[in-house]
Amino acid sequence: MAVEALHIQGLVTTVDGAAHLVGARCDTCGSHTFPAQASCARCGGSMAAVALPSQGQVWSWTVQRQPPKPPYRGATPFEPFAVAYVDLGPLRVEACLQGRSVDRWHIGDAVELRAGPPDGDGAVWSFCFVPQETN
Amino acid sequence: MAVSIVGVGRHPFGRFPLSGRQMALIAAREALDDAGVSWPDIGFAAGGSRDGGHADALVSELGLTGTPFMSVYNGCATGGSALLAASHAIDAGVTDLALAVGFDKHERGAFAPSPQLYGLGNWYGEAGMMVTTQFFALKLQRYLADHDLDPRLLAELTAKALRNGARTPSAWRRNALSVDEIANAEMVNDPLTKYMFCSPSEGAAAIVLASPDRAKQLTDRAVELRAIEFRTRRFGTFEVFSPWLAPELTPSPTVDAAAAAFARAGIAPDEVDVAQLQDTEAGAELMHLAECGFCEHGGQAELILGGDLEIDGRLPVNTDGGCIANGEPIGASGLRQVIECTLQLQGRAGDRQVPGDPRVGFTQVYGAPGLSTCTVLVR
Repeated sequence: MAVEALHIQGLVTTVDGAAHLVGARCDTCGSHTFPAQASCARCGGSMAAVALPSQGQVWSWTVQRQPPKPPYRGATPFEPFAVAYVDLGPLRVEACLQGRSVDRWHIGDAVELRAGPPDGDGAVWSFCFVPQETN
Repeated sequence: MAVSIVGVGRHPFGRFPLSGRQMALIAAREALDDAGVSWPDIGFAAGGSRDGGHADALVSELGLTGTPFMSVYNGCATGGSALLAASHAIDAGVTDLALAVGFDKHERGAFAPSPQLYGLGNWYGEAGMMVTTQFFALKLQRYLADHDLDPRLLAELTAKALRNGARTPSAWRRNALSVDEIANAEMVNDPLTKYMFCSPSEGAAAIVLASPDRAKQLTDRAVELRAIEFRTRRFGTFEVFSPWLAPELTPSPTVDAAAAAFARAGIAPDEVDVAQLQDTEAGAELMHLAECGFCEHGGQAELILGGDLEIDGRLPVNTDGGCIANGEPIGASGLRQVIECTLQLQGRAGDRQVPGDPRVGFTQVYGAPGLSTCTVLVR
């Protein structure tokens, strides 16, 4: 699912109306990264932007129970939030989890991407994963 | 490798009304005194600090002798890298006496580096993911599940660290706590409670190395630095500040560094009499026990619950309380481990002395941005 995305300013793009994280795939070895980068972390080959799968499973999770230091831009007053690595297949991405109380997550939970609001330039920088069944 | 440790010095770890540089001078002079040499005898020096200033600025008070002094800025491997450089200088015949020094003085609270310093966008910090403790928890949570390990083992390891710290005059945290007090304390990042983490702290450590011939002239209690190996991450390891991970995990740089150190030393893990392992939090010690080859993954419960890791056990680990009881002045932390093993092998560890005349020591430091230094020490 290649996209013309190297010019995209945000982390999230839309393909056929559905939100996807913008990663990169190595032209040589097929390794993926997120965010997109120009050359491969594994072999140094050139990479092209791709839309990553938007559904996956929680691979590991924890709860952030104390406010992170700046530049954190979360809710005020601080609300604890869950963080996970979500297995998307070609790679695992780190993201906040929402849509469920913070300590009710389990390894293997099925989740899908939800994009945050765009900024003034239309670029989307924030995203989270939510339980698949609630959408 | 033919390099001997002939002197060690340490400024206690904790919080002090001294600059990092002042603490470094105290540690360096103590190490020189311990070796029975003076600064002008040193033919090569290496040192480093993350937040305490330039190491080579120490020479303006040690003496401007013209000695080559290499400043090291290498994350959690700063002390280990300084020791590596100093040992290479001796091994290469550049000098027969070298000094390694590490020191630091960090602000209170968890480290909060700028995302840009790690090549990341600001969004990563804005989203609340630029948090070291969060990484430890994410790595550990998966490890516990993969290897069917009880989170209560983390409280057991923390209790051991604080018990050993209570017996160590130079340690910072010297109050023992019960396993229940630790397990039931405030949760910071599940499954880790507040007592299970080490905190950034202050302190300094220094080591004088000598060629074997010079060591024989100086002392009859030299400890041989049989191996020191430094490795950085390969593709697919699970490191701090990673917005993504590869679909298949690669063994940690600790696995590579430990295996290389044991191979170079010609010593097996089951021959080690005392070890210091990186315990940035209790889960790190848990994982490093297996990564260094002291047990199978999942085999930690038997070692911990069987008392094997206690000072009077089969494999005493973190006999001075480790990072949990000493805190982590990054530049000094790796050298603290080597000093603790040296004191144990020399029978100079006081109330925390490992019984039975220990002969082989092992140290492992691990940290950001994905690197490890391991040593094998033999008396």
